[in-house]
Amino acid sequence: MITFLFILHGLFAVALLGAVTHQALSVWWPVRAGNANFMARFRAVKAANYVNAIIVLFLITFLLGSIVYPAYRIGARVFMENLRMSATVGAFEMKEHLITFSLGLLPAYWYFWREPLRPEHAMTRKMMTLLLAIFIWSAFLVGHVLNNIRGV
Amino acid sequence: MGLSRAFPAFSAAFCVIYLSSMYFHPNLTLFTYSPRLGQWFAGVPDLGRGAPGMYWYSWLVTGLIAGLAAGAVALALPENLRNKVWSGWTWVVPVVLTVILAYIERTWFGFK
Repeated sequence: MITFLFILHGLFAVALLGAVTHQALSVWWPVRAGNANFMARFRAVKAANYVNAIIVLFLITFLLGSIVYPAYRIGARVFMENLRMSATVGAFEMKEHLITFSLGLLPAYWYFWREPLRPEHAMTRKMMTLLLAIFIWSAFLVGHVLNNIRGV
Repeated sequence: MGLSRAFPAFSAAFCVIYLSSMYFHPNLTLFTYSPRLGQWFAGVPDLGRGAPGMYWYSWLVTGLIAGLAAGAVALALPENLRNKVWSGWTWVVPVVLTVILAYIERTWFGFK
């Protein structure tokens, strides 16, 4: 059961990663008229449309992660501690806290992205989206590497 | 706008108190989960050797309580005062907290 939930956690994380990357690129690297290559199309999305999807995907991924976390704590982490893989354990600690920051930021993220978008909050929206993207990308990469070292 | 006016204050307070709970552990830790025993305990009990305690769930709840309290305060503030607060604090706070977090966790990576 834990393995099934862990795979689900990973699949939802991939979907979340895609959504937040679309949004972050669309607000930080907007498309200019005439661009029609793959990257331009990737960025040519309405960023506000991604907000609810990102929040829902984040909450599901977070919930699944918190369910499988105890299995990591008594399995993979003990294994890595025994091998004195201090930086690896530390990377997971960072992931844990950055993702919790992200959870806390979701209400404000939703608030500043709700329509109609207020122009005076444009920079706040961009920065919050960037932060979420960085936190989610780092958590994904750490989780992926740790799972390669020792799965739950 | 209703209750959503409280959201920015909630977010900032949640992150600050969550990190404080972690840093000042066990002072703000309300309960412990023992993954080996599969049981929850109030406070921070001595679980014995080889039975690690998980405090993260408690830190989440502590952050949630602080966030709700900060949100309630934000709702109670007069609108003109609330509008004077710069919205950028909602991203500046987590950026500063991330730097503090990296400093707290530096020993895992071999830094003294």
